Amino acid sequence: MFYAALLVIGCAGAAWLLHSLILQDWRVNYEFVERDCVVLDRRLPTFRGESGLLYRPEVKIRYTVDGDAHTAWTYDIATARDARESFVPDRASAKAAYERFVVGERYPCWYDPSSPDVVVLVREPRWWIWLAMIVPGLLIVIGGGGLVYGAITWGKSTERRAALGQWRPPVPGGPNGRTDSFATSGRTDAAFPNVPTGVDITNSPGTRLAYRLPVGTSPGWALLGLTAICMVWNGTVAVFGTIVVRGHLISRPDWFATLFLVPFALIGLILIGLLVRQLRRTTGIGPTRMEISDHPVRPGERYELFFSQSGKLRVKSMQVLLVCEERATYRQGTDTRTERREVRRHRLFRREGFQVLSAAPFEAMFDLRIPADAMHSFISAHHAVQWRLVVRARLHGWPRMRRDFPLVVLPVADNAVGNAQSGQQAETVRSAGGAEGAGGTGGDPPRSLTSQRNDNRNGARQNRVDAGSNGDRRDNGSPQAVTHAQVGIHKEGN
Amino acid sequence: MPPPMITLDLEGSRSTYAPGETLAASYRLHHVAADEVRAVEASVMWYTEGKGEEDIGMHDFWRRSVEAGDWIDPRRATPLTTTLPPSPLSYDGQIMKIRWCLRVRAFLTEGRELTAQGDFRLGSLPNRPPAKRRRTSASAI
Repeated sequence: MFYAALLVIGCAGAAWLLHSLILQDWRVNYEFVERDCVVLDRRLPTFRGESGLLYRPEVKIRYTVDGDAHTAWTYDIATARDARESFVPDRASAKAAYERFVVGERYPCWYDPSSPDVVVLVREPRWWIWLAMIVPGLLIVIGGGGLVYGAITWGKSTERRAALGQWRPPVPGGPNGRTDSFATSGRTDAAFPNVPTGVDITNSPGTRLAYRLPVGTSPGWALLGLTAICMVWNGTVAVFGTIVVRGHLISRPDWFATLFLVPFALIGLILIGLLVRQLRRTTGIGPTRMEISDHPVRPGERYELFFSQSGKLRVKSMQVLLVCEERATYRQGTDTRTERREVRRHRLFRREGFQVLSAAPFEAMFDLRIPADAMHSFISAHHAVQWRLVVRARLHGWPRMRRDFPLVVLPVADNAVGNAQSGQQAETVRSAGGAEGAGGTGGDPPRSLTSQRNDNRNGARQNRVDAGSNGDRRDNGSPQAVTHAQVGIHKEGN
Repeated sequence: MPPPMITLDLEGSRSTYAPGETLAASYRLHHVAADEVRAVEASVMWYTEGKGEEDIGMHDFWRRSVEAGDWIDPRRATPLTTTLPPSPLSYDGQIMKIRWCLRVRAFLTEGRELTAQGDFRLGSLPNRPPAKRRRTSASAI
């Protein structure tokens, strides 16, 4: 309904623009008939609009159509139609427009063959009309798109909509050798579906090892963002500040405006202070370099890391951590919330009480071993599992330093097929109940296979909740994974 | 008359599969007359649970419908096979989980639906990662 309303409004707006403006312009340029005319007079009538006086040029001409003499005050088609938009606020430009036409001289004019009294002296295309079409055009695209999407997904199950959303060329081999009649076999051709490619991570070669890892949250970006905020805020305050100060200088102070501006000016000063601090942090601490012997990484395998920290620093402590974080995004009212939880942390390197000289950056090499039972990197619309190397340092005279280097962990090369096949329970599932009335989890077998009668599509969700609760029961008996840090060998250079 | 239902059978009584393995299964409708069934959909898919809006990833999807000229005999077991992908693996995280399942949905006359779902694990990751660190941060837009 919402999209239909948008579409109707958009179509109505577009039709009005098309009929009243665009079609009119087109007729002036392609249908109006050219004649000679004599300028008899000219004037600059006014109209009082909301923003003050408005002006439009008008020229009185005489022309002949089929032997009949016609006289008219005109200029362009808007003036000829006596439209409101023919008036402009700029008196000088309106005056210059009619002064192009000299009384007594002859000029070409164009009249409407279906209504010879409608005549123009100027037929410039009005480009802004096409800009005005953007608004109804957007409404048509959004409304039409929404309706088309609604029509495509109407009456379709959650699974079918998902399959349509990630359509790939059909793959034979469905039940009885058939594929979906809508060719919606959802098999993906990606090597590792829902695992980030990590292309950006391997496009920079290292000096010691194969790849230089990019910084996930560069302090340079924070500096740039803070600079932009600082400039916009203080620029705006400066404009109003100039007006207020000018009032004081000419002995007509506006005390209300002055007091109103004070807190904004103070915030501007705080922003400048933060900017200076960020500038010192960015330029003073120096770049952090992290290189890796191979990427993407796999659980259970060993990699070399090369770490380098430049700058002139007195370090209280510095450590490099391997961190895994889960991320979930959800809507709460009108807010979109993102929750993050660090689920694994392994310390790879730690050093305390040393100095970094500007001429000799601190360097260390150590091993990285991804835990064999680690979840791979994962990304979907609302969830992610993200791995990163985190450099954390406590420094004398500086705030705490943190630099993140994202990693992509691929799924483990699974050799657990035998394990998977052994010791598991039968997988027969029965659905319970008829197709009417309230449903319930049928049988609730020990494994997470559940089924349920449903009267509508929400039933699938209920099933998943059941499956999840079974999964939680399994968790209780699961062995906990190893959590100790994989401390590697490091050698410090220079 | 007993209520209509769907049964699923994962071949070999499997509950855990390795990436790249073939999942073979079949489904059957019970206590449903042939002229009552409009369409049947089978999906091998993953979905997320926990915090965050649900994400669904369809690995394989089959639809048979009377409209499209398919013959659906509810009394016969319908087999299906698919080669499972290398990712995403089943995962039991702290704020999110990834579940794999075979889901069969039957559309009956008069708008009625039947659904059956069989969960299985893809890969052999432990059920839950170590939970020593519980640093949570939330941000809102």
